Amino acid sequence: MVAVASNQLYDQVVDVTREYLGPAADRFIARQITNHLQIAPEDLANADLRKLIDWLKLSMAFLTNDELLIERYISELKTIARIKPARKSSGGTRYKPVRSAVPYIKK
Amino acid sequence: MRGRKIYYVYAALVVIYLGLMFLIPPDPAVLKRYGLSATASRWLNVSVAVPLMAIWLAAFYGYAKLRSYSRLIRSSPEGRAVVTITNGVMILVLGLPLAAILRQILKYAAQLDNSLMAATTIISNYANLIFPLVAFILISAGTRSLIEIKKQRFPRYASHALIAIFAVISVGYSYFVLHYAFSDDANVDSVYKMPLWLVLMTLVVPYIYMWFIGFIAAYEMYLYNSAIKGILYRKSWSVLSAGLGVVIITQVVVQYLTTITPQLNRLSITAILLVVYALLLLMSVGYILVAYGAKKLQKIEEV
Repeated sequence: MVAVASNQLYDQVVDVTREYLGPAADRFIARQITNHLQIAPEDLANADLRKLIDWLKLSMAFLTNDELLIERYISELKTIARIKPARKSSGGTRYKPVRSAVPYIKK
Repeated sequence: MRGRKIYYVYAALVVIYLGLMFLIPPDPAVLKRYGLSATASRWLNVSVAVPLMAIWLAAFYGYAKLRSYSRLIRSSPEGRAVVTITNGVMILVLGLPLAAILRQILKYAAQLDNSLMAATTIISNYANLIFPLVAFILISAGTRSLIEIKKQRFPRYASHALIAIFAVISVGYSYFVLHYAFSDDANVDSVYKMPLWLVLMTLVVPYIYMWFIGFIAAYEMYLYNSAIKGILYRKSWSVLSAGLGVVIITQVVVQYLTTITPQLNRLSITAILLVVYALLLLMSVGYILVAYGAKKLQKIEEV
């Protein structure tokens, strides 16, 4: 696992990615953020998400030709981007966990 | 061994093997028995060596890809286990040409001095055993670490099935060795050049042990594969684990058949050789699957 200081947004992106890349998800996301956004993974903010999703779509296309799978992945990531911050608590901004609504059906 | 280095090693071993094949004069006794000329005998050897070298190349390619992948993930939780499996595969792969080269040298030594026959037979038998034995121990340690990461246990039906397979293999193998040892036309000393108790304790037992841990390792790979998440990761890993499973199982079956060949020599030797070559071909398919799976996994770690 990549050592990343606590960042809930980062964790959510990794959680979604884990459904596709399993144990490699953490390393994959950390690499995309570092290489393409040129920031530390723990500094990932909501404003970076759109750009990150674009890079993730491109990177995923290198790994599979299954467009349906890529679309599903991207739409799950976009769900994270659309979520508005929940009530403020002492722990700072919180995000609802994302679970895929539509199970992936391979054609 | 990084990148191209492994292919240089392969090329060097192939040159040594071919060099020995052409430089060592054919055994006159063998030529007389089969009515062959020295040139015909050399061409016959080449016809056996070419598919053999292709199989070695597939094995080296599979190992090279697995090695590249394991280097990328060595600091991850599953990294250590994959590195151990890779080291096991390296010994298995290097053992293929090394054992063949050693066999050539020993055969020539026995040809030069007949009094060395017993010593060369014994060394050759242990050389055939030692590489896969060490390799299987490492692969098994790696697969065990993998299932420990996922806190998996053997299902009861799987343990029973493995024990049943193990019992059949052990009894079958022991039967062939002992049957030949007490047959009229040969005795254990003429094949192994050692007393029976030593053959049983230092050859039969290690072979059976090695095959058993090989089967367990193949099953553990399958078990780990069934527990991992990630649609793309799992797909690539299942190709890799299927490849390793094929390599392990074919290696076991080939060893089983080749070690009992003297005992089976009443059957057609051509039939046995065909089966062994079909299995070796299957083994190279296994190594190609390992390479393909490792390449896909490597891509996930590099993009």
